[in-house]
Amino acid sequence: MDRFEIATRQAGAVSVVSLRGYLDAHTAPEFEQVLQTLVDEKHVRIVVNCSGLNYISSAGLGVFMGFIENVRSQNGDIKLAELTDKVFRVFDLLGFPVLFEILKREEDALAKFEKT
Amino acid sequence: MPSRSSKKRKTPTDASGGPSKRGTGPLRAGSPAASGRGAARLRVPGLTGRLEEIRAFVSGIARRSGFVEEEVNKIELAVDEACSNVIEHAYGEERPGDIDVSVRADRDRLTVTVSDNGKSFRFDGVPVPDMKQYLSELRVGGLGIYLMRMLMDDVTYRSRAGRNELRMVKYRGGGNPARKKD
Repeated sequence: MDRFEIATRQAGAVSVVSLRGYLDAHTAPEFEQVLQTLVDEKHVRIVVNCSGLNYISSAGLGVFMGFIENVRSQNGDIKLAELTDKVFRVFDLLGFPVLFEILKREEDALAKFEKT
Repeated sequence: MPSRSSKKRKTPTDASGGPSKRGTGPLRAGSPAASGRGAARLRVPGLTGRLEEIRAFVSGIARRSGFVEEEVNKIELAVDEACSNVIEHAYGEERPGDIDVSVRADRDRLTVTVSDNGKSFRFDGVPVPDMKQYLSELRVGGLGIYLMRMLMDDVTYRSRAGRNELRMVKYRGGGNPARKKD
């Protein structure tokens, strides 16, 4: 079943990771692997485009938590963009918008990186 | 350059004609067992790959019984967290087992029961995280029970004779009437 897909591309110095489908305890390891590879290759400026993401559980949120300290310590960041209302509500429920920058559009998130 | 995925869409291969009966589908037994009459049941192996099926099962019933989409989403997430906990903690990799999910829709509430035969735990002993502290310390994991309690109106756990049962209730129209005192 291909109910979860990850696509990665470079937009200048920023890596854009696009998620589709659902991010739960089953698919979170795949996402974790992709972020790990990026970080290993020193790609620490990351935008996660969630426009195609229709579900997230705490296992998915945990992946974001697991990398944020590492990338910020290397002057990078993980910014989120284009969350559906459903997915945003889960982030919001746990107060994640305090910790993560969440932008409406991918280009807004990319622009934030350009300023730094 | 955007990466292209060229995954082929899977097509059903049961083109031999005629309805095929399969024994692995959801058990929608109406037997008056532990969860009462009229409960829809699903038994699946405790594998993360089956979470999607569990979510679809529960959210389908919640939707059909009249819960609005936002409430359906909460129920779906709470059940996912409960089952993910069973898979990760009650069973673990060394001794996998089945998860039983039963959903009962009553006039004023939806009751979801998640049962397993794995390791039990002290449900009331699980601390409620201080989210401010949690986020500032960049912790990972351990949010499942907290989420269940936030998303559902009533969550109870019991373990007896090697059988663990987590029962979660969502009232219609938001909130437990018994709690509306404040």
